[in-house]
Amino acid sequence: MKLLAVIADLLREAAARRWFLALAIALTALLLLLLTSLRLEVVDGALAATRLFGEPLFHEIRPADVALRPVFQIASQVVFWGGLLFGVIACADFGPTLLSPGRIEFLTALPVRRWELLLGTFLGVLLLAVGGAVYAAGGLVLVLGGKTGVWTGWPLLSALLAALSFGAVYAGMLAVALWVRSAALSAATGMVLVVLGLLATHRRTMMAAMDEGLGRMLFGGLTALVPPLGRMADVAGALASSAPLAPGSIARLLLGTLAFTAALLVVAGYRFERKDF
Amino acid sequence: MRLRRRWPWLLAAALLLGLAAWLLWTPDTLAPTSRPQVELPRHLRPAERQRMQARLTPVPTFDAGPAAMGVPRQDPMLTALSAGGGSSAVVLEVNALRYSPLGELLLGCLVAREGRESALESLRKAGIDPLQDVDRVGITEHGLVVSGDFRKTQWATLLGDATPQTYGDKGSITAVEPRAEGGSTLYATRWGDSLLYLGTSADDARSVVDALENRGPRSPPILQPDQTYGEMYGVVSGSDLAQALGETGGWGKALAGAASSVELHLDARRDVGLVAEVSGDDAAKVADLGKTLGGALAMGRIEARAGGDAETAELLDFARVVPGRDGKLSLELALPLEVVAKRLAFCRNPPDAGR
Repeated sequence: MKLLAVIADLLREAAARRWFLALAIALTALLLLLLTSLRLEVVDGALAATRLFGEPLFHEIRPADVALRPVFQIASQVVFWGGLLFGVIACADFGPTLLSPGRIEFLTALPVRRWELLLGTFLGVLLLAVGGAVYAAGGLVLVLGGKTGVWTGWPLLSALLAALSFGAVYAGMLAVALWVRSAALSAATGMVLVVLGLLATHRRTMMAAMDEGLGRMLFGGLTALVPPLGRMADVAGALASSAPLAPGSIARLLLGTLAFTAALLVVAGYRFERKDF
Repeated sequence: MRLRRRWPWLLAAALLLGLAAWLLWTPDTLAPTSRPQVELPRHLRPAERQRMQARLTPVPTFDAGPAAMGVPRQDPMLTALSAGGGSSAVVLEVNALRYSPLGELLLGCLVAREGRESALESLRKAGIDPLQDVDRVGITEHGLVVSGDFRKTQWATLLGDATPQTYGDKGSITAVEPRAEGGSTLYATRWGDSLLYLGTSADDARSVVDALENRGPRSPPILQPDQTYGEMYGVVSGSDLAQALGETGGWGKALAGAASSVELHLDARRDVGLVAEVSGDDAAKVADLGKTLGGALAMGRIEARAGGDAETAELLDFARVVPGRDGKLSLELALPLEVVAKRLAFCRNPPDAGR
């Protein structure tokens, strides 16, 4: 219950911020625009014609769900990377705010354990990420499903994957904020993790091109630990477009990302428990 | 005391990071795609261009009779197909198909079903090895045109005792009377040692030789040399195609009504790719035909999926109709060789094989 109270507190704080209000308005406006301006003609299950703002769009006539695959795939990539970057910027100061003088003393004086405060903050941010991603992907599914009759749940799963990836990045941001109470440094950490995640995606290729030495070893060590975000984005895109996936590998990728997140949260917890306020 | 409390946290973090590194050490997460990546025939490829140029021969000129002007070189097969007019002609590159994996499969089927004393053997006895000597087979509404090397052919064995009549410079027409069980007279027309025309009309037989020897008015060509790409190609009217496919309702009617001609190209060098370019005089009708065909493909896919035929459903995922401009559209289908082989597996194991 106490954990839920911390999560609710963070969500209240998020609701008061213009960043999230702007995101909600932008997503809603985009979905409404699609709803009102997109005309899709479906003949016997095939998407035969598309009009956007009354202008015909040239495309092939294919089964509607096949024709919509690239749309869901692109939307999934936008949600993944857009959500990741937006989340890094918009959530950077949740940690520092939690630790701000006056507030942290007040919170630690309450009958709430420190780990509950930390986990509540993390889960609250994760819930925001899930909410945003599912709202965008779900809205798109509803709009396109209503117009074509093609109903699919995969884009929602893809959105959850995007939120999970952001969770890994945010765990690092939170851990750093517990050492240095700075929103800027927290955001920079998030960006560094995103870049490392991209490098980790192409780790093998890049290492093959590097000369033996300390730099290569350092690069190999760092990128072995960070979840390969590019691969996660590809999996999210493949899920959204119903493309074939290797199930065993996905499970390892997801579990690996969860283990990385948990490791950073443990580091954050270690620092939080030992810190004097 | 503090040191002891510190270690569990750091140990847990280190263990979790190690676990993460181990778990993330994975091969590719995206499964190898089972979707076909089949090259579709859309234009002449270099080898086909060479083949096309090698087949062009000078148009014969004659002193007698008014010679048609302006056609310096011709592909005798295409000329023979266009003789006598018409709107439909399909050519099968037998030799190219024979040496393709698909040809091997089809041949395997034929041998398995026909046994040793097959039609192939009968033809070989007459001096034609269909697998070696036949280059192309063309089909038109007037008859059948076969090109190849017929120097060793024993025509008497093949066509019977009927006396051939010489026509033109290189033509020879043999009227083969029908068998006792009925039928019509077959006119077998040889042109040199490289072309054989089989039809049911003496006029058609003469017009083929006339066209090949550049005599009299020339019919507009059904197929141009630069359309000879793929292992099967041709131009068919919409109504002929609907009839040939046995489709009388739904999209068959739409096809017959909208398409003035359908240009077909089938690539079977490895996988099978088919492109059908549909042209019509009424752009709106062709656009509607595209929607009807797209709908038929989508419905076929749904039916395949509902019937548990995931492979067909997967293949139909990638069948597409591409609307063009000015009353044109293109239908594309792809079949990987593995799928064709699986589909033809039944004929390599004839029903009585186990007896």
